[in-house]
This record gives sequence, C-alpha cells and structure tokens, in this order.
Amino acid sequence: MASRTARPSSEVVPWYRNVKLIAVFAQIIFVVIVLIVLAILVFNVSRGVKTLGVRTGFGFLADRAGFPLSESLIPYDQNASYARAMLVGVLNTLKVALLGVVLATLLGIMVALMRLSNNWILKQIATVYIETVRNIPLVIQIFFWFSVLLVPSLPSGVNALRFGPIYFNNSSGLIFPWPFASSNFRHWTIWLILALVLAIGVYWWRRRTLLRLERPGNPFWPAAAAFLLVAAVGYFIALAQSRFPENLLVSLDADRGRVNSVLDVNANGTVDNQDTPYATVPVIVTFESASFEVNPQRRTEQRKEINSAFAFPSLRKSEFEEARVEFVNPDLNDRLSVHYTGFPTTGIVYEDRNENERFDAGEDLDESTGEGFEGNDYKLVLFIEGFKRRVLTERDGETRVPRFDSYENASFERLGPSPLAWSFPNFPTDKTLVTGGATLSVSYLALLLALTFYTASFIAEIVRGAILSVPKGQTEASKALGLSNNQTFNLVVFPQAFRIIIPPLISQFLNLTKNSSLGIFCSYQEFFAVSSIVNNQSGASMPIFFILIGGYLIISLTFSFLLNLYNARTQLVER
Amino acid sequence: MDSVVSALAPTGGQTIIDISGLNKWFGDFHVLRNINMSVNKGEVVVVIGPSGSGKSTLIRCVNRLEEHQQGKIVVDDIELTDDVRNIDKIRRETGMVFQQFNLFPHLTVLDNVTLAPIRVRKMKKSEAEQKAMYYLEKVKIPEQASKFPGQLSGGQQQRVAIARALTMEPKVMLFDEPTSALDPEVVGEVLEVMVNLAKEGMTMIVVTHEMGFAREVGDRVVFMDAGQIVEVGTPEHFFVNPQEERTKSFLSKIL
Amino acid sequence: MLQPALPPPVRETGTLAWMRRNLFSNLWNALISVVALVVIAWGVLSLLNWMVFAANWDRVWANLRLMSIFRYPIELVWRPMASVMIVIFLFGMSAGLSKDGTGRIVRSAYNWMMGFVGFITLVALFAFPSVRFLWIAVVVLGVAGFWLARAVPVLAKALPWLWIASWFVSLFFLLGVGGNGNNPTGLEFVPPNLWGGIILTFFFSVTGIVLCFPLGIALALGRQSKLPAIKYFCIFYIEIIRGAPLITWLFTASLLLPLFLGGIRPEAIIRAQVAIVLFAAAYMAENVRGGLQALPKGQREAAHALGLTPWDSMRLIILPQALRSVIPAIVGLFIGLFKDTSLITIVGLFDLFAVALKVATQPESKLIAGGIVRELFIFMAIFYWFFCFRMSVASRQLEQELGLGTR
Repeated sequence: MASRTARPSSEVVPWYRNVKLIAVFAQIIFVVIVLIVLAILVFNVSRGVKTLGVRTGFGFLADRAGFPLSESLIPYDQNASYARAMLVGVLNTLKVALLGVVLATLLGIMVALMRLSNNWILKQIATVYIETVRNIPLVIQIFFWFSVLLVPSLPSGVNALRFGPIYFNNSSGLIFPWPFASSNFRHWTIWLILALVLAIGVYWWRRRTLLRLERPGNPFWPAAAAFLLVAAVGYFIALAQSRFPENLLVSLDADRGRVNSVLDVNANGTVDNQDTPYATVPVIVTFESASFEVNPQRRTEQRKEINSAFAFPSLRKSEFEEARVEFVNPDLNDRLSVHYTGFPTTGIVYEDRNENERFDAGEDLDESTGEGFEGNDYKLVLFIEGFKRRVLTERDGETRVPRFDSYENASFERLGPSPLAWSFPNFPTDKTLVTGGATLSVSYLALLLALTFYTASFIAEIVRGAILSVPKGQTEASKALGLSNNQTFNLVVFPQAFRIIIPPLISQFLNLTKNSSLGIFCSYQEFFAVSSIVNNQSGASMPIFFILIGGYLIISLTFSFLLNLYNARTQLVER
Repeated sequence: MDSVVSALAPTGGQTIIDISGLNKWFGDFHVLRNINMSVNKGEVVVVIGPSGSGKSTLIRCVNRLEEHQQGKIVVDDIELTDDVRNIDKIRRETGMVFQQFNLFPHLTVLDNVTLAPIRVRKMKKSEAEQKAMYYLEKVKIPEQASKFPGQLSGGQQQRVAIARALTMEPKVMLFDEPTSALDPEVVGEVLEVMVNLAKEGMTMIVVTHEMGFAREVGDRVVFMDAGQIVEVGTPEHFFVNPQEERTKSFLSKIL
Repeated sequence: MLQPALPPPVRETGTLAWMRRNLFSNLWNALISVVALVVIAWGVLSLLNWMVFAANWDRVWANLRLMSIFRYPIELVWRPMASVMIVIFLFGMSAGLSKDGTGRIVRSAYNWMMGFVGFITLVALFAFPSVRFLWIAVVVLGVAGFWLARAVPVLAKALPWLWIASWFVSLFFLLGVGGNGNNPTGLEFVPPNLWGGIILTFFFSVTGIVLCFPLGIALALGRQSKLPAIKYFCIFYIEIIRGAPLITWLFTASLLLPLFLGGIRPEAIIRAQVAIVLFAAAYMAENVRGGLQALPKGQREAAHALGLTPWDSMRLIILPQALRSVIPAIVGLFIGLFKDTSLITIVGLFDLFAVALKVATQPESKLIAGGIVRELFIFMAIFYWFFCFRMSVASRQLEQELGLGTR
C-alpha cells in the first residue's frame, strides 16, 4: 500500500465538475426556464384577460345555453346550462366511439381474415380496401359518407324510405322502434339481477367442473343460457305482477295530438291540474271515425320549388277512408286538381291548364302569380273509419297520434303493463318533429361509418400482422399433433396472436375516439363541436380549453390504464 | 482473511489500479462487498467466478460505467470521484473490451477505431488513421478496415474492438468476458491477440471463463463469489492448490 | 444413373391450375369468387360509366387553379412554381446520388414523381398555356438534377444542406420580401391569407415535419433522461399533446395563442403551423424514443468507455443509429401530417379540402343537378391517395431495407 500516491478524496471538487451537482444544477436551470416561460404566459394571459375581455373561471358553465342540440341522450333544451350542453357532447362522443369501436373491430377482423384467405379475389378486395381507406384523410371520408353519399341519395323529409316500422331519410336519419323501460320495469329488475348472479355462479361452477373433469370447453355458453332463461321467465312473472295503478287515467288531447296518462290524485275522474303525469303507458287508441288536416309541405325538387306539394302522416293506406283536398276559396275547386304522387301520403296540387287531366311539369305553379300554391290556400283532410293506432305515452308527453280536428268515440285499450314497452316511430308531417322510436341521425351514421371503415383498415393490418407473426412451426407442430385446421387456429395461432393484437388495438380504439372530434365536419354534435359552440357563445375560451383537453385526456388515460392493466396481466402469465 | 489481504498486495513494481473498501448495491442487492484489490503496472489479473458473482460489475466500476457507493478506486493516481474531469481522464487511460463487442455498426472499421483518438485525444485524422492501421495490423485484420462491422465475423469484430481500445493507447485494458459471445472456433484468434498483448507488457484485468488463458498468461487469479473476493493467488497456486472450499468446488465443476 | 428432372404434372402450373387453386378450390370458394367478380365488375363499370359520361368535370377543371394555388396572384404563379422546381431539382440530385439499398427506394420514388410531373406537364401543354413553360422547366430541372449529381458525385456532401436551404428558399419565394408594384427590386409580398389549395397542403405538412424534428428529438432525449425534472416534464408534454386530438390543438392555437402572446395576433397560418409543429413533435418524440430504446445499451457504454463526451456520443453514436432505424416511422408520421393538414380549414385556412368545399357551394356548381360534390370528392381522393400511397410504399420498402418489421 505504501506505493499508493493517490490524492486524498477529501479534495474539494468545484461544482461545475461534479457529476452529481451538474445533474442537480441542470435540473434547476431547466425548471427555472420552464417557470419563467410559464410566468410570462400567465402574465400575458392575465393581461389579455383584462384587455381582450376574455372570461375566466368556470362560472359560465351554469349560464343558460340558449342553443338547440338536435341529438342528445339526456333531456336537453335551450334553457339548460352550458355544463349540460357539454355533457350532451361528451355523451354523443361516447355514443359514436363505443359503437364505432365494436364495428371497426369486427370489420377489421373480417378484412384481415379475407386478406389471409386462399381466395385470390377476397384477398385483392381486402388489399384494395385497406390501401385506399388508409391513404385518404378521414375528413374527406366523412365528407364522402355525409355530403356525397347519404345526404344526396336518401330521400328527403316525408318521402323517407320505409321498411315496415323503420324510416330512413336525410333529415332525421334512421328511425326505428325501440323498447323503453316502462313504469313496471322495476318488477323485472330483480329478475335481471338474479339472472346475472346466477350466470356468474354457473360460470364459476362450470369452470370448476370442467377443470375437475379435465375436459375442454367454454363455461360462457351455459352461463349465457342460464341468464337468458332466468331473464325470460322473470319477464313473464313480472308481466303477471305488473298492473297499472287504480287511479290511472288515459285521455286524448286531440289539439296537441297527445295521449295523456295521469294519476287521478283527487279522484274526480277527470284530468286536471292537480293530477300527476304517469310514465310510459302503451295504449291502443281506437276511433270510430276521425278526421284531421295536414299542412302542405314545401319541398325542393331539382331546383324548382314546389310549394303545392303536400304530405300526409305516414299512415297505412288501408287506414284511410277518404282523403281529399279542400280549398279555402271554393272557386278554386273548379280550377285545381290533386295529383297523388304516392296515394294517399304525398301529392301535388296543380292547375290543369292544358286540360288533359294529367299533372304536367310546371302546372304546380299558380298561373296568375307564377308561384306555387300557398299551404293556406287549401287544406288536406283525412277521414278515418275504425282507426286503430298503437301508441306509447310518456311522462314528457310526446306526440304519438296525429292532431285531430274531430273524432268520434275514442277508446283506449291499455296494452300490457309490460316491463318493456316498444315505442314505435310516428312520422309526422312536420319534418322537424319525429317522435317515438329511436333515431340515429344522418350525421351520426356518416361519422360512424367513416370512423368504422377508416379504423378497421388499421385494425385489419394489426390482426393480419399478429397472425402472420406466429411462427409457421406452431402451425406445423399442431398439425403434427393431429389438430384440425379450426383447432389449430382457435387453440394455437389465435391465442398467440391475441397477445400481440391487444396493445395496438387499444391504441386504435383511442385513435377512433379522438378522431370522433371530426364530427364537426358532418355537423355531429359531439364534445368538440359543442365546446366550440359554447366557446362562440360564452367567450370563455380559457376554461373551455381546460375542459376540452382535460376531457380528452381522461379518455386517453382510461385507455392507457386498460392497456397497462392488460400488460401487467400478460406479464404475470409469462412468468 | 489476513492471508487474503496480504495476497492482495502487489508483488512489487508500481501500482496502477488500487481498489479499497469498495461496496456497491443495485437497489437492495449488495453486489460488491468490501472489495480490496490492487493491480501493478504490466500485471495481468484474471477474474473468475460463477455468473452473478459481481466480476463484470467490478471492472465496470473501474471506468465508471457503474457508479460505486462506498470505497475508493484509484487509477493511475487519479481517484474516481464525481469529478467529471477525473472520470474523463480515467476513461481515457483505460480501454475496455465488451462481451458483445459493441462496435458502432453505422461506422466503418477504420472510423470505429479512429473515432475516439480524433474526438477525445484530438489527434489529426491522418495520424489517427496511421495509428489505427498499426493496431489493426497488430490484431491481424488490416484488410478489413473499410468494411462495416456487420460484414465481419464475431472473432474479427472482437479483434476490431480490441484495436479500437488500443488505439487510444490506454495504460490499462479491461476485458469483460471477451470470448463468451464467440463461436468456439474463433475464440482462439481473440485469445491469441490477448496473449500477445500481455506479453508486450500491457496491464490487463480480464474477466473470463477461459481457464487456459488464466493459467497461461495470468500473473494473478482472483476468484469472486457472491460479491466478495474469495481467493487470490498465482495460477499455479490457484489451480493446483486452492485454499478455500468454495474455490475447490467451483474448480471441480469447470475443470 | 441420375434420375432426370421431370416437368411437374400439368395441373400444377398454368393459368387454369392457378385459377383452380386460388379461385375455385372448393364449392364455397367458387361461389364467393363468382359473386365477388360480378359485383366488382358491375361496380367498376358503373363507376367508370358515371365518371366518363355522367360526371360533370367542367367545374372541377375550371377551378383547378383555385384548388392548386387558391388566390395566389396569377401573374406571380412562377414563384410557387419556382419552389416546385427547386424541390424537384433536389429530388433529382438525391436520386442521382443514391446508391444501392435505400438509394433504390429514393430512385423509384423519383421515377414516380417524374412520371407524375410529366403527366401534369402534358396536361398543361394542351390545356393551361399560362403555366406551360414553367412545367416544362420543372421536368427539365428534375432530369438535370439527376445527371448533374451523376456527373459530380461530390455534391453528396452538400445535399442535406441544400435540402434544408430549399425550405427557406421556397418560403422566400412564396412569401416574397420587400418589393411591391412600384419597386421592382424585391419580390412582391404575398400575404399568407392568399395562399391555399394544394400548395398550402404541401408547404404546411413539409414545414410541420421539418420544424417538429428538432423539438421531437429533444423531447425524446428528455424523456430518456436520468434527470427526473426533465424526464417528467417531457413525459407530461408528450402525453398531454397526444391525449387530445389535433383539432383541439388547432382550436387552442387559434383562440389562445394571441392570449399567451399578450395580445399579439399572428396570422392564422402561423397559429395553425405552431399547433401542428407542437402536436407532431410529441409523436416524433415517441418515434425517436422507439429508436433510442431499440439501440443496444452497449453502444452507449462503448462510447463512454472510449471517453467520448456526452454530446459527442449523442451526436456521433446514438442519434445516427436511432434516427436511421425510425426513418419508416417518420415517413409514416409525415403521411399522417399530410392527411391531417385537411383539418386546418377549422381555423379558417384554405387547404385543398376547404377550397373544394368552397367550390362546391359556388352558385355555378349549385346549378348542376346534384351539385359537384361527387366529382370534387373523387378529385381529392385521388390526389391524397396518390401521394399517401406512394409514400407508404416507400416507407414499407425502407422498413424492409433496414431489416425492420421482418421477424
């Protein structure tokens, strides 16, 4: 040791040469720079708030929104607050994202399998699809679905495509019957809970049995069967238990075209102000005869505005006893005729100028004025004999029957007090008011289709890549063991591919959700679109920025949380 | 323990590496436990031991690829502290050869070898290339100078790595299992280079599993286990007449 | 005696056998094939029929200038064209200098580009006399660049710098400095609110990727840093940016940037560009991080052991390797940026998409039955598809060439 001549370690090293201190100083300098920049920003913002009159704070959220939103999963009107409007936006984002994720995954898997199939044509179709959709901006695809495909090619307004009780047009979108929980739904909930508990029980029991017997099999199917069975039995029991309250009154408010259902609180047998509305009673309304008038509808056909077109409610032809056009000025009766384009629902009032008793182009114009006939020149009157209409009343009293001008002997048959009540769409003449059933707007459909097709092209490549990444030896080994093609795929290839698929798949889900913010390009009112309306109205751009970024961040973090959870689980499995 | 400590003392000549009371932890794991060791100029010290015994960590501490928490490391009279200048000096004076070669795949062999002399020693390019060719000849692959590492075999790559370290003209060479990643038939060519280097009087610390090499060129053999130096001795003493039980059982398994 | 090699049984080769294997291997497959063929034939025929006979291309044709350069003064059209010339010339030089491997990919991209430019030149030759000679010049310069580089290989060293310079020169040409109608010495200033259409789409996405590069690298290195303050700041930045969609950042930049800058209100184009750059940087950082993580730890250690300074080892050892391995990902990012440029209409800028929407609502367009949205859509789809598809092909080739993506 004597030969050691090292300097003692106590020698002081200047700070700028000390590795550890350099690290500390570097961070301090960095933090100081960040803080200075932040301070400048905050200073600018606070000055800007004064000079530019920008609102800060979240107080504005309680203010009245004052703008309508055409689609909402929760009750909303113009008197609701900004906060509620934004909540509507968030829910609309989730509504398109959740369905989009499911559809994109299904389509993506299908396309991937097509690309891997041994049919040359299917392979080429899948390849062309993927290479096309990936390489065109999503906005332009939304433009395609909305402005190029759906809006121009769907019929407008009352000319909706009709498949039984389902309507499809370019203003309201797709309207279809939908079950609502009625007031008796609670009788059924207990059975649903029971069914769920039982299903879980069956799942565990079946899994244990399978393990004990050492048999392959999926415990999911028996569990699902148990759930369905109990739920179905429960439904009928609930049906038997359900009854309406003794003091339930159903009445027709003909002027507003509404069926009221109320609880007769003061037991006087008539509907009055003291009675409380009662929720969701499905009834069949029957009239011995009824008549109602419909206002003519304006519609545009090839740049030529036809004012004299009219449309009846979408009642079945057999429901009409008589349909006729009545003119306000009786003199017109001689001059004008009616041309039914779709008897008896749509037609055009025209003046038969060349007296050929046919409607010719241009005859829908009033010769004297050169304009279409005004709606208030004539009335369209329907007479209905023995009319029966199945309707559903709700607490908020939506219109379910046409507005009657007169009716005779209306009677109500209360349908079921069933736990679920089907709401059927009613397609009124006023095109802005579609009631009953459920609606998927054209904007929603366009965005949903665009997101689905766009994301599916990425998912397909993920799935394909993962399946191809399973070494060929795996397939060969399982074939050598005598497994069939299906068994090889289900038991060997897919489980290995699945692990590789999940992380990028989740990030595609996230992308889809973020891309739903492009809904603004097809006037779908999701989170971003609503936020930007709120910003325009309230001028509170600062807080809206925080809400917007925070909202999307929460969604993103949820997805990364799921991803981490999955990664943690698979890592455990690997050990 | 006394006998061990006395065996650690250099047998004469000038000490170039002096490690005393060295302790290191990875988290809670105590990888190096009170290591005392010194190496003389021109000496070849071979470190052997089972995997996980801390051999690699020990030599990686010498040029601060790993930071030690306690104890003192002095290389060529420079103590390894947090002082950047000292760390740089020590790294300049020690060359290191890795198990995985760690050649820079985006640079040619010549660029690999001249990089550090030009950037660190601030040598002229022509001078550095002259020197590089000298060492490449020494490791017997001057003809590969313009190729990329990916085009060479493992043995050739490792020889380039040795040339790369030598071109810096270090005072000490550290070898971290230089032959472990090689195919058996090329191990010989790398060992040959190392043997020649030892014969020329280079100070070397070699972590290896090549017992033949240890026996032939090692001046001292250090056996480590569980983060401690178990036994130190000359190859004859060590392989013929080991003192410790742990050493005996290790040798019986690998010989 | 050696067994002579026999030809395979006839049914294993030839068109019929191929069809049997790939189209009609069993009844089910045969059914699918027939139905698919019929549907495709019908679809393609009716699309072609529509495109040739029914579609109204006049309005698209009449608005080509609007969609290419928007309201950029027509008498100054040589200036955007000069940018195109510079880029094509450098492209030619790159192709001329390229060697094997990745060079082949550059060369084939160059061939495609020249084919495209040649096509436009042909169209211009007959239909647009005002830009006829400018396009001929583009073609000539593209070819000249190639042969110049072939003749003078030393230019390879200057090439990266020339590319960087080309961006500034392009900006200079597009924007102009000094000069006005009375003062012919300078280039007349063309305010960015007159820019638009395809030229904006290109300039915007290229600028985005160029400017996000340094910031992205810095963020990636920061995220890998051992210093917690820097590391967590970078993680915070990257995750926040990536957490929200681009459109929200465009919105933010458009509304809040003036506020952050204390009332200074930059041009809309600058605000949007800032948003795009800050946004793309986060994604670039993640790509670069991928490259850094893929780098073996030994590379860093070897650099340390040789005594290289941190700066040198970063510059000479780590970044060259990390960046090289993420080139395909960067091309992918550029494709994304190119596509995302179509969102800037949200802040009132007129890229191709926004101009097309404008064209669709022109009174003349509305006179046509059904409007011209279908024609416009097809035009835009082909434009974007052509460039994005070509770039994704190049990206895939690069991936293969660099030995990534193959297992």
